[in-house]
Amino acid sequence: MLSIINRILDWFRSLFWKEEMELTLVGLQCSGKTTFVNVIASGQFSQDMIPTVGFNMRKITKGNVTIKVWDIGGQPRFRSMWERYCRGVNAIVYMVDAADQDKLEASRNELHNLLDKPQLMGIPVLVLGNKRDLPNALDEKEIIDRMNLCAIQDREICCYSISCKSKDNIDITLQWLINHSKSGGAR
Amino acid sequence: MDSNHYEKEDDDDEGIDAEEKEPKLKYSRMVNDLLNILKNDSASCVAVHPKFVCVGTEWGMIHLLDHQGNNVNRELRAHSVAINQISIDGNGDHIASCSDDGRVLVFGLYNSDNDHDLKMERLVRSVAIDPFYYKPGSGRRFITGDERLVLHEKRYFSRWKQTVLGDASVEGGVKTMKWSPGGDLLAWASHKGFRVYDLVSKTSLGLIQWPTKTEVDLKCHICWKGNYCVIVGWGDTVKVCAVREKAAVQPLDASKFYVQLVFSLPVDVIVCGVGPLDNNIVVFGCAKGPNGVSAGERPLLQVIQPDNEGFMDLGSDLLSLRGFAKYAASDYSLECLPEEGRFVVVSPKDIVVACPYDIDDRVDWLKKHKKYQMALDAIQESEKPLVRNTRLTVGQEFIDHLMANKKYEEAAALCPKIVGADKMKWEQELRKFANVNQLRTLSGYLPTSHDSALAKHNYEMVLYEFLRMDYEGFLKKIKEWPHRLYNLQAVANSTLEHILHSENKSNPVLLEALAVLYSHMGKHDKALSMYIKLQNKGVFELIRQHKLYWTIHKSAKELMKLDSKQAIETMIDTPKVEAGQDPWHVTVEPKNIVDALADDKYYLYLYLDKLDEKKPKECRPFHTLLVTLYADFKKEKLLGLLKKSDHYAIQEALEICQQRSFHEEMVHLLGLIGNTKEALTLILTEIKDFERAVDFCKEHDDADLWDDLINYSLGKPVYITTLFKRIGTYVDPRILIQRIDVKQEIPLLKDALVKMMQDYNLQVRIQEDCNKINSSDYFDLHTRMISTRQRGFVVRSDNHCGRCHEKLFQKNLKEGTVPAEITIFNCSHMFHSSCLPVEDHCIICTTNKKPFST
Repeated sequence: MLSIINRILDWFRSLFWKEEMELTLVGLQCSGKTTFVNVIASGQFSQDMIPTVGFNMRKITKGNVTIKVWDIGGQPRFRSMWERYCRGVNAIVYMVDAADQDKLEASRNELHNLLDKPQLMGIPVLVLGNKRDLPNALDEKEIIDRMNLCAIQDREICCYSISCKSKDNIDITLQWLINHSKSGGAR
Repeated sequence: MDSNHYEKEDDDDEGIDAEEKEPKLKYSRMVNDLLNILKNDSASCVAVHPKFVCVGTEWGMIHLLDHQGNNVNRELRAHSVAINQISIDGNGDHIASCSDDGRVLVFGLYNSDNDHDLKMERLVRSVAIDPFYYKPGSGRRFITGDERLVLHEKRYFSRWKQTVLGDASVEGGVKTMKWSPGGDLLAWASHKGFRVYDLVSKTSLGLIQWPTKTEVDLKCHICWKGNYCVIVGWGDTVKVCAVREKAAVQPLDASKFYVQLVFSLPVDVIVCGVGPLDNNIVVFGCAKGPNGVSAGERPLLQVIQPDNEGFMDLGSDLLSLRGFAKYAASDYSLECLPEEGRFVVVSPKDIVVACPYDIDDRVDWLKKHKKYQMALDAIQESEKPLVRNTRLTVGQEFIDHLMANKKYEEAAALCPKIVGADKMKWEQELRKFANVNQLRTLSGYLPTSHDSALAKHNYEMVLYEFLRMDYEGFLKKIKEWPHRLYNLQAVANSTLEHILHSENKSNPVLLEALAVLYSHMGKHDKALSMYIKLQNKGVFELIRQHKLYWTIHKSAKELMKLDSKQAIETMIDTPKVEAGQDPWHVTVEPKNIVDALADDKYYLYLYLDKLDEKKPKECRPFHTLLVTLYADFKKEKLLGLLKKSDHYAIQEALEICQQRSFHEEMVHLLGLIGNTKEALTLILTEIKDFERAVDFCKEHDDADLWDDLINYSLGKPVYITTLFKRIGTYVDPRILIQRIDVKQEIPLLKDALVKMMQDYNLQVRIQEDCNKINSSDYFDLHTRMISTRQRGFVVRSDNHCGRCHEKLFQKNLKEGTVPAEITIFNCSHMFHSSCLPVEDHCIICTTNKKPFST
């Protein structure tokens, strides 16, 4: 009974109250950042993407939450800008290609470098291990281990294994993101 | 941004300007897609947002770029002619632009819900969008500036309302405007001056006029520093104004704010842009020409520190912007992000970003200018960690620099400060010093404590260098360094090898070092021998320190040679054996020493002499030896020893003395073995001391001896005289006189005879007197004895009979028997008369004479 009332209240709230959140999507090139944005925005998966130059800016509305996404290019020349786009956002989403084990170490170093920046202190981080549909992809535990996520103690950090292609775990990822919108954390 | 290259006029000619100022800003040219854009088009204005940059062009395009110049969205064909100003809202969601084509455009980057396309039909010089435009319910405000200042605001039911905030038609129109980041103030300028407008109370806070009006129409540049401070540049003046709240708001006052001019700075350039940098101001401008404005010069970016009297130039850079020769002040502009200190310098064909020197840049610069110490200090003072530089890397460069300049000592002194406890790095530095043979300089700075010590081979390397180049230093290090730092054996071997291969095979310094090494290795005997070889008196210290007494005898001879006094002291003054200590270690067996020194009698003598003095007991077994030694080296002491000691072999001693004709000693020895006759002969024949002979005879007082003496003296009248004089009291002089040859002539016979007679007479008289005394004594004693014997004595009832041992008196009172008869002798013995066989003598006193028969 109570839940029904809650739902109705939520619906009313969504009519008059729009949540806003801003997040930055970073990670090495070809890990699937832009694809991920496309998938959560429109559910469209596209195999052939061109590498992002500079960044893409998108606004995605999910329910009553509007998510503003800075999707930053992952090539080395753009990495120095990551910090700039991560400043002041509600969450940082770090995309990892779970099937490309060769680049995992570089990915780990870049993540730790980024999170060492004093201006990004306390911003929650969601690490996504993309491409779990591929045969030799690592699972969450292995990613946590290989990315040395346990060493990050000063902020909320979470790790999911997803697949943009088969749309695995996209829902829980979205839920996590929505929970971290401006008032989402309080709910 | 590594690929980006910036150009600067002062092309870093090192050394030309020794006092070159430390730069405040670094530059990087925006490249990538921007290059293509500016190839055909020219930038007319730029707006910056922390996340992106909007470039408006002469052809009316708006390009959205990231901070590296990459095109983010497709370009926007916004206007038909050059864009005059672009304004971005606080969230970066909406952009407003204006142009001479009379259009004002507001468009959203994400959606077109709040887009706006306003046709003003006038030249719109300026536009500003509300920083909170993105917020629903904010009124979606923007302000346009042409002849008038107009606020456009969305009211209820999507009705747009325009409000004229100010009229500048007589002042040449609105030149530019900037909305304050807080959203409640707007700064705008005309060619008369500039104003701050309070958007909340809708009142102008007053005009601040330009000093003079120039003939040319110059652009005005405004920049907010925070919400309540605005920096305005126009012509050759920079003004800083603060917007303050009134202390007390009067009822008539429209606004609670007032504007206060903080600084008014006349600068040397025509200002093309201003911006705050900490408490300083960045001024971008072109040099003033003779007519006020000059074209074709490189623009200048200057950092100034304003103060009450003017400003201080903290550093200025001439920027070689692409195509500068064609442009004048009005073609340039500057946009900034005050929070980051990021300045975007815009020229029609070039965009350059200036950033403050961060600590890394500063250190890089200092390094480049060889100001390493300052670089180190800067790192020290820096609160945040550096990215490219560390104390270690800079320090190592500093060390390299010093070494390159042959300032080895300074470089070495720096090492411990830079390297700290990092053993790997220490080894690196060590290698550098090794390459220039300067390990010696470094040696004093190497860590030696237990936990920070480096691997042994490092120290050995240093020692080998010393060994090659500085023996004294080598010895010093060997003594100074704890020996656990290096491999003793290896160093000792090298030292040995070095000694063998060097020309001077007995280099005392190296030998001493070797000795120290051996001593560290516990090869004390080798160390000892080394010291001895060196004739180094440190050996005694070594012995004392390491309690090497047990081994001392092995090199006793050398030690003696080195310093007999100390050697003997060391050998004799051994420390007391402490409880639990192996006495073997601290005692020196005199026998061992004696054996060792057997070859060298003199040292043996010195040793035993001292030993006899200090520890006579221990010396006893060696007295025979000592006799020989004294005989050889110290005859004066020989007799004393012979007389004092009875621990030597007399016969041997005698032989020794005989060999050396030590007559005195022989006499003594002969006297000891009772060979007085020979002794006397010796005195008479060898010593020829007749007096002594007489004394000797007197000493032994033997008739035969006297006889010998007399016999000997018979042929020698002088002796006879002496004899006469001395003999009187010992022997009957007649013996002598009778034996004198009648014909013998004896000098001074008369005197001698007189003397003898007197002596003899004296002797006789003494004898007579003695007799007298004797006889009188005899009589006295006899009388006393008689009187003693005649004395009465008590017979007690408990006295016993001397024979039957019964009581003398048998008490029997009842019967009243008469006591038995009792005999008492003068000798006080008592008997029952019945017990005595004869009554005339005491049987006790006469027992042996007359045995008693039962």
